[in-house]
Amino acid sequence: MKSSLRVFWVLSGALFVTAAMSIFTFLNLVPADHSGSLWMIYAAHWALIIGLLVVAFRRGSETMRLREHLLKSQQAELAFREKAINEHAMILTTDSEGKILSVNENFTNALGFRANGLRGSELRHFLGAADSAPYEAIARQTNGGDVWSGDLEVLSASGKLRILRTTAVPLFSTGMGHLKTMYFCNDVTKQRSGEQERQLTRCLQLLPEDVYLVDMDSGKILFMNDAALRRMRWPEGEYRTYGADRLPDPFGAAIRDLCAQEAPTDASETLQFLTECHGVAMEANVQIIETVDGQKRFVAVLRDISQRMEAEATRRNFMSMMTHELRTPLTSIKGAVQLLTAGTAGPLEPGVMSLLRIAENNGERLLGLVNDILDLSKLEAGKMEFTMGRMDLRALIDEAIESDAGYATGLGVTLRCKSPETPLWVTGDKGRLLQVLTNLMSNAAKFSETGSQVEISARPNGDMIRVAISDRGPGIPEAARAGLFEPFKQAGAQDKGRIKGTGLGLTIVKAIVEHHDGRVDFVSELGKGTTFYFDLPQCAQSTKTRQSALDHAA
Amino acid sequence: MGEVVDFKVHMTAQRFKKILHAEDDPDIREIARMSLEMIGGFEILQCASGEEVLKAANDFAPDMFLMDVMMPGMDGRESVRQLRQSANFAETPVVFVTAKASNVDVDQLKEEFEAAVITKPFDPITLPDQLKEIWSRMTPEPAGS
Repeated sequence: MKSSLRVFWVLSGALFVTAAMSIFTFLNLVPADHSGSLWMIYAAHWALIIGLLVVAFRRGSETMRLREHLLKSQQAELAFREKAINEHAMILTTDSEGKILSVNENFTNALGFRANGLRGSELRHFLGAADSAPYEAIARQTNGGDVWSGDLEVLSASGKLRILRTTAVPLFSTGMGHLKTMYFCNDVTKQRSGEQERQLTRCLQLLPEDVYLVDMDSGKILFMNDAALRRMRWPEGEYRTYGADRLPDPFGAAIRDLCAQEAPTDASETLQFLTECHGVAMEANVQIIETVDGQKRFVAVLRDISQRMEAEATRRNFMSMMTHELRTPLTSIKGAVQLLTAGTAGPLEPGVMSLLRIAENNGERLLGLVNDILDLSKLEAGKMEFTMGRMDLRALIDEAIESDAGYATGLGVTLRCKSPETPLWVTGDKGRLLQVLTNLMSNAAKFSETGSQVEISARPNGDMIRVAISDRGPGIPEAARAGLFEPFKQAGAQDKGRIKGTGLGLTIVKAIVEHHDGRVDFVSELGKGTTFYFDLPQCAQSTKTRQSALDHAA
Repeated sequence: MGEVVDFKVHMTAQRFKKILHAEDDPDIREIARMSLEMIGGFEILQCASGEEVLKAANDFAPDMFLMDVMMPGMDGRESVRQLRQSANFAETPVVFVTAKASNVDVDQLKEEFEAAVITKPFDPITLPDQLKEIWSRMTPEPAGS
């Protein structure tokens, strides 16, 4: 720059002198005797001017060349930067309204969209994200001229969730305001899930249960928590090289079976089975999980249940001991009294006889109590056995009436049954349903006035069959409803001398009926009577109706 | 042994006479004895343990074994298992008496021993009839031999 200035001044000086001399010459102001040397000077000046002009021209073209070169290299630099940014990031440009102007290849490739499809649509719409809050924040920031940075959760073309770490930079121009916004994004889904995995791992380490994460394809163990490592006595660093085949049977065998399954179990369900690890009884819960990139793995959580098994065995033993120990003396007491009252040991005085009846009745009552308590504790522990079969409820009701008739007659009550002509099929445990029926019937008889009737009816009621047992007793006050099916509650027990029961009957009835997917309840009117009823699901179809269904189908 | 000839030709009631009863509780033994002897008119031999049953069975030659299941020492099951190995008692009806009213226990006893099961407490008045009914059910009418 400086050299061209110098050239300019020299040139200007030379031009000025030459011009002055030309003027002098022209006006004949120069003395004639000096004219020869003047011409010499004159010519020299012109030569200088021409020379200087040549130099200036050359200098100028060099500057132009340099400028051009500079510009080119700047452009190359810019192109390089753009290329680098394009390589590194997903870039998207929107106008100030959030409408997409352009996207780079990284962007379309990463999310599976086509560039043409995106142009002109609104950012927040095409990304299909549920949460629009970040887009509002972006609009606020960029419209105000600020840069926004944060994570955007978006959905790819295939509907998968992606997390983009994003910087949105607004472009402003003087006079025109906010022109457009450029989004620089990086897909951080993997890092984020890695982070989540690390957090999960920390949680799993805290569990007292043994946790295994196994890759289903390779059978490799991907993760074991400390509890599992301790049980296996494996060094911590090495298990990752182990396959599931190193796990001891039968747990190992179960795991290998799972891996070998042709059609893997549905990922939504949890498999639960009992197994053993180094001789310890374990309960295994296995859940199949699919990673974002489609790998199948399963998590197995093993819980040591040896203590629970022990406790259960103790309880079972205790129950069976109690059954035996309570029934044995009762057998003797009842047997002795029964033999006496039957006259086996000779004729008895009437007074002795009535005392023996008291002993007999109470022996019976004690036995009922023992049986009910045992039933109840079995029901509560889920240990009551149900042998399910298909049966006609009408026959069962007849059987129950037959078995309760003696008791009812003793109270001066008759049991009367109204059931339909057609069979009422249900699936259930015959003995237990009989227990329900006899219990409700004897209850009804117990609360009936002497000389009255207990009515038993059975009929289909929608998908269910309803059995109702009605008495004309004192009725049950509404206040007693709440606790009636709870142990040792008996409405009106205190004011009727002859009413005696264990107070467990209804609790057991309810539990049995509910085990049959049924429901028990009652309606009552004070002074008029009570109807207890229970609903049991109808057996799918009786043979006859199934046949007619087939006929219809044909 | 002339009795054996009678045995085959007589009515059920007369063919079913002798019961070997095993029970460790002396009171229950007494009640069963009164029931079976005085009401049922049976000939009874009572034992307090499985070991006693095995010792006495051959001499007594019972028509039926009435066995308590839970006894100290050799229990009812084990005694019946051993009795069944003897040709003399391979077919003799067995009735178990158990204080456990669990369905599973009862089914298991019926299945393994082809036995009948009576639960405690039993009714001493109806016990003889119950046993007669079981006996006629379990013993097919003798045919020729």
